Amino acid sequence: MFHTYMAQTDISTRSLQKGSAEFLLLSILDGPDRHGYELAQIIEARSGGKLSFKAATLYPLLYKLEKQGWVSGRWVEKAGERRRRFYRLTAGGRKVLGARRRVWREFVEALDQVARIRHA
Amino acid sequence: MMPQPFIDWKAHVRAKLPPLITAAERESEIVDELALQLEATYERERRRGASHDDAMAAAASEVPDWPAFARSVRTIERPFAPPPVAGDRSGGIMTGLVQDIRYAIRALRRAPGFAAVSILTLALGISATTVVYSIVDGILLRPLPIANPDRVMLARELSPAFTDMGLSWPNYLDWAARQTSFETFAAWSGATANLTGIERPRRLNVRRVTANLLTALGVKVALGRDFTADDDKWGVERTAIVSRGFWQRELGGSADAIGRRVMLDESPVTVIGVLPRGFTVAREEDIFLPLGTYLDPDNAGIMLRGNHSSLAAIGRLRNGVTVEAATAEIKGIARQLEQEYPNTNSGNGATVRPLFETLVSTARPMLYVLLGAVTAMLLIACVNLANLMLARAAGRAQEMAVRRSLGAARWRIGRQMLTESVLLAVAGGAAGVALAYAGFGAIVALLPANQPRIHLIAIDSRVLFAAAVASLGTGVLFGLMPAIQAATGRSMTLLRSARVTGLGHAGAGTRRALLLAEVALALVLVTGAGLMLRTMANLAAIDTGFTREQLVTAQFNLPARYDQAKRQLFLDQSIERLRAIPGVTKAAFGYSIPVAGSNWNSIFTIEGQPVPERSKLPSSAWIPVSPEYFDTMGIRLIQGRLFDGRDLPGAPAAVIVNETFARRFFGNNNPVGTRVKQGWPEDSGPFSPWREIIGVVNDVRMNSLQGDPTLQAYLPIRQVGQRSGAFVVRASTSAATLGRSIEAAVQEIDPNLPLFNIQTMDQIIDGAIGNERLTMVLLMGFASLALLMAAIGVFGVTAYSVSQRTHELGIRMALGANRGSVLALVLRQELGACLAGIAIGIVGAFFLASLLESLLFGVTARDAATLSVAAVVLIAVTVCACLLPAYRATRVDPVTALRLD
Repeated sequence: MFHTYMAQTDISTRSLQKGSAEFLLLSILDGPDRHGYELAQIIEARSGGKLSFKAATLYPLLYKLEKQGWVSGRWVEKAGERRRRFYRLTAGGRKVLGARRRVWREFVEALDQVARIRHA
Repeated sequence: MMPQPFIDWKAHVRAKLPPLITAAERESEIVDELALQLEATYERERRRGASHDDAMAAAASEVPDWPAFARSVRTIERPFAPPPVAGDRSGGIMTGLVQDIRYAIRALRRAPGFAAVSILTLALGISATTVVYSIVDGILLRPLPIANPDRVMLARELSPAFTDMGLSWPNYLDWAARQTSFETFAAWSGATANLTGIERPRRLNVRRVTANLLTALGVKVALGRDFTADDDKWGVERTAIVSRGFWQRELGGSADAIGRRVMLDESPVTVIGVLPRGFTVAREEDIFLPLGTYLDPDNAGIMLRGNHSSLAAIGRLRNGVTVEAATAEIKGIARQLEQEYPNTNSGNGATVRPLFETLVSTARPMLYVLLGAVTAMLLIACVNLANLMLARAAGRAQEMAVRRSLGAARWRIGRQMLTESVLLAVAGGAAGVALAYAGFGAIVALLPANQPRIHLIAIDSRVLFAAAVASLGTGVLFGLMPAIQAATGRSMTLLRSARVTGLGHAGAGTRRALLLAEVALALVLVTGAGLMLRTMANLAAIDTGFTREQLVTAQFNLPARYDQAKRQLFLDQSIERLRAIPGVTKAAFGYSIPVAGSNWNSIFTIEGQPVPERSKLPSSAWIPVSPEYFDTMGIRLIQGRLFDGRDLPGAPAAVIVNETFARRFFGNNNPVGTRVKQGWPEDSGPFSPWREIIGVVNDVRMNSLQGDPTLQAYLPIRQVGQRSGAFVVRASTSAATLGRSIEAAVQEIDPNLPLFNIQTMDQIIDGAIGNERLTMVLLMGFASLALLMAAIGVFGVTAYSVSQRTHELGIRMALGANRGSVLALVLRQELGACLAGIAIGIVGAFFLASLLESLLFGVTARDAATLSVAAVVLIAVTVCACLLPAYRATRVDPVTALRLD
C-alpha cells in the first residue's frame, strides 16, 4: 500500500511528507481513537522507521486539524494511568479524508501509468 | 536494571516552552500532552537499553527547537488568544487584573533566574532600608509623647570648661523665680535607685522631678493623681508616679496599686499615680519621684550654688514667646547671677534648646549618614532592577510584537509589564522585611546603650508601612520604564527586527545611563565605608592607658544605712570575695570607669602656683580608688608611689595625678611632694584638704576614646569614702561569663544590694564608639552589596550591548579589525560610562563626607587616599565586569555575525 510506495523511494521525503502529513494522520484516525504518542508510533511502525513524526511536527498538525474541525480530541482517564488525549475523526474529517483518498489514488495511478512505479 | 531517576516531565516542558499566549487551561493541556510524549519516548529508549543520557537525548529530539514549536502553536491557536493579548475590555478591570496577575506569575515562573535575581536585589535593598528606617524612626521621627513637643525646652548651664553642665539647685530656683517666658518651669534629674523587698533586688531608672513636671510636659497620669507641692518637699513621706511597665510588672496592673508601698533604696515609697501607656522621654523610666524629698537642708552638697549635678530645667513656652526670646531671657538671668554670685557663677552661662533636640542631636549625624547610605543602596537596587527589567523586555520584544500584531492594546501590554514588576516588588518587599527581622536585633545591639530613645526602635506598623511604600514605589517606578518602552514600540518594525536587534539602541542608552548612576552611587558608598574603616582602625589603635582585655566592671550604689566605716568594710570584704572567685586574678574599686566617663569633675588649685581668675580655674576628674586599682586596671606608675597601707584616714591626704596633669602644671619638674586642693581657692576644712601628690601614673581615656587626654587625679578611697562606684575585676579566662558570680559574691555580703551595668571593658569601649561602629558595619555591608550590584550591572549592560553589536563587530572583523582592537573598542565604549559614573561619584562622595565628618576620627572627610582607593576599586570591579563580555566580542565569527540578517 501506501507505505510500500514510500519505502521504495529514495528521493527526499521531506516535501512529500509535508503535504501528505495531514492525510497520514487523518487516515490513521479512520479507525480506533488514538492518542498522540500512539499516532507517532503507528506511523513509525507502518513506515518501517522511514517516517517518524516527532512531537514538534505531530502536535501542531493535530491542533490544526482540530481547529479545522476534522478531528476532535478528548481527555480520557483510565484507572492507574495518567489522563491522555485521544483523537478521533469527525464527520467533517471523514468527508475530507474521502476526498483526499480519491485525489491521492488518482495521483498515484497517474504516476504509475507514467513511471511504472508499481511492479506487482 | 538501573533504577529510573524521577523526572518531572511537566516541569521540564514548562521550563522549555516559551509562553504560548493562549488560555491557561489550553496551555496546560498542551504541556500535558508534550510531557506524556517525551516521557514515553524516554521510557521506550530505556527499555531498549539506552543509558539515561541517551534516552534524555531521544526525548529532547522530540522538540528540537522550542521557540519554533511555540511559534507554530501560537499561529494555530490564535483565535483562542486570551485577554492580555486581545486587549479585551469586556471583562472589566478586575477580571483583567486577575488575568494579568495569573499571567505574570506564569511568566515569572518561566524565568526563574530573572525572578530570583530581581527579588533578591529588592530584598537586600528593602531589608537595609527597613532596618535603617526603624532606627531613624525610633530616634528621630517619632514625636515625643507630650503635648506640643516643640514648645518644651530643656535648659542647663555651661562653663568655660564644660559646654553642657548640670544646673545647680539654687540657680534653678532663681531662674524659675525670675523668668517670664515659660508658663511652667519645672526641673528633673536622672538617677537610679535600688528596688528591694522583692525576690531579686534590681536597679531602676528613676527621675527626680519637681511637682509641676508633668504639667510642663502636658501629660496627665492614667491612674491616680499627679504630684502636688505637698509631695515635693523635704521630710514628707516619699510618693511615686510609676511607669505603665512598672505598674504591670511589679504591681500586677491593678487599680488598687494606688496607695501601695514599694521599697526604694530600702525606704518605703507610696505609689500615687501611673503614667500613660507609651510615655517615655529619653529612656525607659520606671519611676518618677518628687525632687523636693531629696533636698535635705542639712546636706551641704546639693544646696550649694557651685554644685552641678545632673539637674536640668524643663519649661513650656508661653504662647507667642519664641525660642530665641526665651534663650535670651535665661541667658540674661544667668548674667545677673554671675554678678550676684561671682564666687560660684563667674563664667557660667546658660543653654536653652528644644527638649527633643537635646535627645536626638548626638545621633543625628549618624542617622543622616545611614539614611543617605541606605538611599544610595536602594537606588542601586532600583537601577539593577530597572536594568534587569529592560534586559528582559528586550528579550521579550518579539513576544510583545506578536501580541501587538494580534491586536493587543498598547496600554494592555504596558499594564501587563507593570503587573509583573509590582508582583516582583511585593515578593522582594516581603523577603526584605523577613531579612530585616532576621538582622534587626544584631544591628540595633551595635547602638550605644545610652542612646536616648533607643527603646523606641522597633519594626512595627509604621516601619512596615514605609517598607511597603518603598517596595511598591520601587516596583512601579522601575517597572514603568520597560512598560513604557514595550507599549510604545511599533509592532511591525519590532516583529521584523526583534530577533536581531531587540529593543535597539534606545534601550541600551537608557541602560548605560542607569549604569552610570549605579557606579556613582557605589563609589559614594565605598568611599564612606573606607572612611569609617579607617576611623575604626584609628579608634582601635588608640592607647586607652589600661589593659582592656578580660576586665569586668559592675556598679553599685550603697543605701543610707551604710556609714563611712560600714562602707569601707563592705569594700574590703567585697574585694576579697571577688578575688576568691575561680578565674578571677585581681579586683578593685574605682569611683569612675574609664571611657564610660568621670562621675566627679572639680576645679582645684596648686600650692605655690598663681591662682587664675575664678572662671579660668582648671578642672580635673577626681577618682577615688582602692589601692589595688592601678594593678587591676594595668595602669603604670611613672613617678613616686601608688596608694598603700599608709594612706589611711587621719594620715596626710594623698593624691596621684596623671601624666597630662603633671606635664601641664609642672613641665619637666617632678610634681611628687607638691600639694593640690580640690574646690574653690577659699575652701577649707575636712572636705577640701591640701593633698600631697605622691605619684604620677599614665594617662587613661576617661570620658571617651577620642579627644585629648583629660586631667585626672586619683584619691585613696579610705580617705574619701564613697557611697557609689564600681568594682573592676580582672579575669584569667573569659570575662564575659563572670557577671553572675560577681553579683553572687557581693550579695553574700549584702543580699539586698543589686549590682548594675555589669559589663566587660570591651563592651564599654564598644558602646562608646557604638555610633561609629554601627555606621561602619552598615556602610561596609552597603558598600559590598553596592559593588556586587554594580559589577552585575556593568556585566549585564556590556554583555547586552555586545550581543546587540554582534553584526557590527562581525563587519569590523571581516574588514580586518583584529581581536585586540575589537577588545579595546568595546572596553573603551563600555568603560566610558563607568568612568563618568566614577567622576560623578567623587562629587557625591564629597557630599556624603560632609555628613560623615562628625563620625570620623584620625582621617579627614576628604581624604584623598581613601577616595583614590575607592575609585581604583570601582575601576577594577567595572573593568573585570566589562572584560568577560568584551572578550566574548572578540570571539565573534564574522561569517555567523553577518548571516544574522
